[in-house]
Amino acid sequence: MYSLNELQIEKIHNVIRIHGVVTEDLQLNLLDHICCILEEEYNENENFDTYLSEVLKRFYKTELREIEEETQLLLTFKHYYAMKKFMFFSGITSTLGILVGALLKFLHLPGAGILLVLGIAIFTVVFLPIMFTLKFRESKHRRERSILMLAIPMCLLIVTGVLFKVMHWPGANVMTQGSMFFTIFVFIPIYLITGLRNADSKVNTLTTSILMLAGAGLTMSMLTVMKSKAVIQKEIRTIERSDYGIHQRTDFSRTQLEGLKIESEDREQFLNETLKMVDRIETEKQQLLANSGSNELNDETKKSLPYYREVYPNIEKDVRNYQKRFSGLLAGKGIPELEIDLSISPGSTMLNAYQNLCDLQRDLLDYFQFVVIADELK
Amino acid sequence: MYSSELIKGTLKTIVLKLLTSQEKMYGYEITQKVKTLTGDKIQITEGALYPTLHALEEEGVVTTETVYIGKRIRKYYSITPKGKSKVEEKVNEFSEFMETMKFLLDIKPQTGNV
Repeated sequence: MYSLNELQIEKIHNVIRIHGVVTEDLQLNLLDHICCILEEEYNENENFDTYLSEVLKRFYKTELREIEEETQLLLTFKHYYAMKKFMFFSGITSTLGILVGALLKFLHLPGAGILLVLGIAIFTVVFLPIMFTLKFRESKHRRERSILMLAIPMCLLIVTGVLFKVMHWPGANVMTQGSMFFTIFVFIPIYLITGLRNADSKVNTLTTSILMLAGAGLTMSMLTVMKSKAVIQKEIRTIERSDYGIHQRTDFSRTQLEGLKIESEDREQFLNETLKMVDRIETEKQQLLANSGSNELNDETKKSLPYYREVYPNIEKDVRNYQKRFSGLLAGKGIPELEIDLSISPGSTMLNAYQNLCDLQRDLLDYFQFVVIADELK
Repeated sequence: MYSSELIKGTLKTIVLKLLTSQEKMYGYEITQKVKTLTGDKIQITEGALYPTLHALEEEGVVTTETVYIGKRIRKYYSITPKGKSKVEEKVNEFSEFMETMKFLLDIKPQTGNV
């Protein structure tokens, strides 16, 4: 009986590793087994390396890695039903999260962002991988497998692209449009061509392809909805006019305030505060423009930026406080309450935000005038 | 020697039954034992044995014990109580299967050849 030395054992271990056996337990099992065979059969007159490779050949049909794959298959197949259950569970929770998140977003209620991000995260990180793993194992033909390999990046791109778009994160447009291009110009053609070759799947492939194309086309048209240049120009001109009016009225009010004889301190404070609030909103407007990369209203302003999502709540709060503070003063005069709604819906542009701020400024200037007129009428 | 496809379906049964007769066995020992017991008619391929052993371990019907043999490690397999009840089940299932196959394939009982 031959006795192997340490170097030889190390060598065998390495050969096993190199040939794709990664599970350590399995490596050790094979190592011991090969050692047993060699100790039994090998004699020193023969070349060790050639003999070793001869022995190795008994372990596989084409590659040693087969053992590893077979082991993994047997081990994971046991989890097949658990995986399937988990897949359904994660699928249902994530879709519920996305649906409820979308609903909250639609109603401008809090919690929409968290639910959407969580829902989409579970969907992409848990549900899709499990689904593809199971599908991959169930599929027997090469065609199905290669289609699945293409479908994985496609689905991930589409889902994350939509998430980025909804959350106003940068890169959203590149992702969504990229995923649509990939679907239309890569995935569907390959799906169609490979499917048409097989007479059995011909009709099915055709109808599915048409449905997918229609879906992708519709989604793309929705994602790239942009107002025409002429419409934007008209909007910009309207806002410019109202902007001009606001500046004129602010200046006028300021001069008016200087010449006014105001009896109560309360009233003076109110008039001063109102103009301050108008100025404050003016600063926000300038900030908004600066964020668009230009100092004036132009095509750039139609872009949506995440910036004002953080600024708006502050202004809303301040205006509410201001209104509360002077509610006694304004009461009983029949002056309608301010419309303080600066929330923006998904897809809003900077232009919308700018317009919202202008509207609030105008309302404030109206307030100013109401009180001044009431004073003068006395 | 029988085809590996025939053996594959019964491999778990063979391994479990062998382990009931011995306290503990390691992989190489199992293949040798089967070979001698069947007079070389059944040769378990390593490519099928180890995946099966790992699966059995995962199912909890066998446990392992590692022993150092010089620089290398040997894994001994032994059957668990859960495995013992499984063996009976498997052997019964297989004997019923054989009866059915005999009937299905219309095999005449052979004499003098075990």
